[in-house]
Amino acid sequence: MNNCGTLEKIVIASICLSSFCGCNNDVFIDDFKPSTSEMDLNGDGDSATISFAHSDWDILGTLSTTTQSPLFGNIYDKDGKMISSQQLFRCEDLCKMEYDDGLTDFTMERYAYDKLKINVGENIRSEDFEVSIYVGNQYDFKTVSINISPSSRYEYERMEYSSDKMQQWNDFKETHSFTIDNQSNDTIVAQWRPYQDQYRTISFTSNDPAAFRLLGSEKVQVRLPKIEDGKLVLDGDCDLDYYPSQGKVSHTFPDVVKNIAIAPGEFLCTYILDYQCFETDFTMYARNPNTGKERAISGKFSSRLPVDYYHTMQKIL
Amino acid sequence: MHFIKKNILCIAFAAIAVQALPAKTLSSAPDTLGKFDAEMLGFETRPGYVLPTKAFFRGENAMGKPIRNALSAHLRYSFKFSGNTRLGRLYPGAYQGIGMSYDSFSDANEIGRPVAIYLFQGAPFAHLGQDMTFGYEWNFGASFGWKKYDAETNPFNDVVGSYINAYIDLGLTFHWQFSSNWNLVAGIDITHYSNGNTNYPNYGVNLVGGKLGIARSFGAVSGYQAGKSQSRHSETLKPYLSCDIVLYGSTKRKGINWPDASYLVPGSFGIAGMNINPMWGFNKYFKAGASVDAQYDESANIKDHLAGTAHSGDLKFYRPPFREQFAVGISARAELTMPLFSVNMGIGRNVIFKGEDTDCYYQILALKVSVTNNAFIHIGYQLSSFHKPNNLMIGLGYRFR
Repeated sequence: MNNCGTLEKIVIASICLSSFCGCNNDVFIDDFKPSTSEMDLNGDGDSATISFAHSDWDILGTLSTTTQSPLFGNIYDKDGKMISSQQLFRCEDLCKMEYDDGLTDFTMERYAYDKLKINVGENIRSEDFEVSIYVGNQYDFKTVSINISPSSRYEYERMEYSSDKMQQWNDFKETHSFTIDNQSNDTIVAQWRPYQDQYRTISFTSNDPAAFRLLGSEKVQVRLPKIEDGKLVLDGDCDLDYYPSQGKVSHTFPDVVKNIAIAPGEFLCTYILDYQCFETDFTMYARNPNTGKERAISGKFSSRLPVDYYHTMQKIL
Repeated sequence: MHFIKKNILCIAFAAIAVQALPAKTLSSAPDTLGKFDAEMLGFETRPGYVLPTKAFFRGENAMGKPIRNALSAHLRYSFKFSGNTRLGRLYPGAYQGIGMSYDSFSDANEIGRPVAIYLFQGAPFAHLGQDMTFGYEWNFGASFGWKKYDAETNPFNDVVGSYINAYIDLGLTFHWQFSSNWNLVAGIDITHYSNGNTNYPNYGVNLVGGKLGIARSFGAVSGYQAGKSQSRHSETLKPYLSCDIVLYGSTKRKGINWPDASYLVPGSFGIAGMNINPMWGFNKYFKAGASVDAQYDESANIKDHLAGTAHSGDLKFYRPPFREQFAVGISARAELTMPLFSVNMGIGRNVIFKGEDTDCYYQILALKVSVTNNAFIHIGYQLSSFHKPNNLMIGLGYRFR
């Protein structure tokens, strides 16, 4: 039996070894399955790390389902050196990618071959910013969906206008013209109220996409500037909702009545207003009450205010 | 795994050698007190008809003609246990041995001329007169030298996928002892050659045929009639309980069928398993019981884990979770028990499983070759769902009783 025991051991060992040699490893690849396929992140600043079951994957691309477009941004290598600027997000090694469209900013950092860290700056959009990150290899790809919720609304703090950048000019504009035929032999008088139905027109414009979304949809009153003695000062009596494009501001004009003498004959009468125009740079400061983060939005403020009036009489022959 | 395929016969022959070591071999002197009653050398020819199971056999081959005929020549050594031994008293008339055959087909260019080395065992059902017996015989072994399918050099042969194939034969045999040391052998048999799903294609070759041969016996009690006198008062066996524990391994090929395509996965997948098989021995010939069958199949359910396609066009898979590769089933088992060899058959169903591939019934046919009184070599084959080739089960077992 001792001899047989030895034989048994040899055969058992052979079979066990043979069984292990039988594995068909060439057919299998490692599954890089991410730890999650969907992730919600806070738009006020958040971070999360996605772990992968294996390192055999690359970042193949990203797509924002919010903007329906692939994402562009700056791409850095593992040492922090910029590889490319404003390129489509794609990376085949350790890397970091920065996205910032002015409304939403976040970074994706593959700091280890099986880790991808997402850092959210903020999302001042009023809706979720949804990003699909495509990771994969030559055989397969998987999608990790990230939803970045809207940030808390920023609160208005103050507005500053630049005196240095101010430009001022006058604009003369015909406001009304008409013909009158005085068939009498006497001079008659017509009355013209030049400031009637007039108002001040102002506008805020900015190339910053966050300029008019940072404060949310509710309008915020801001102090307006005016020209006084040739200098830019804040108008203590004049606030206006801060919003893009033109706005009309009620203004207290003197109740002027202009008597216009019209001699016998046919005349073309034209009313002309003299507008005081200026524009300057503005900077609006706002703060996120939850994060304490302050943002400054820059843009151009312009104003147009009637300050004088003229008329012309031209005899029609 | 090639180790097992190439050496399984060596292992089996070693098993017989272990049993036979104390005995003399081919002794010309009388040895009625020895372990063997009779030893025989025989020669047989077996003409066969190739069953036309595939179009290749029906004429879709390079020759352009049906392949119908086969002929094999066999040289065989066998022995019977002496009536002085317990096995001899339990199984009088049973004989077993080792054979070698040379096979020839009518289209050798595409099939080859394989040589088989095999074990065999037979026993009489009935004694027909003084010098004649009628019984059964099985052969099991490996055949070498097949010409396998090759897309470029042997494209029509879609039946043989391996250079080495298992050889299985079952027959009914008449033995006529026409002189003191000479026996005439005749019978009919069916033969199957295949590779046990270790490679594709695996349709195999099937024959029906006859056999005619002659055997020379050595020993005091001659030929196939030896043991006849003991059979009238042969020893019986009380019913008993035994439990076989089998550990086995193998490799298998994997084909995947989709509704619109099929794919043969490259390479061979590993198989490992264990059977715990308590059985009740009703008598010396028959045991039955149940078995708990655990099996790990590396290829199971990979269809559900397709990863993609490599540049070479090969499909790649994610390794399925162990839960989907491992299954535990329960099977009913019946076993024909003879000296040195047992033939075990089972039908079972997986009860702990996950995935389509392991959600099935399975069928097992296994040969157990005794190495010691309790240890045995297990050479089995498993089908699933009664028709799908599954895997070989090459391993070792131990019998508790």
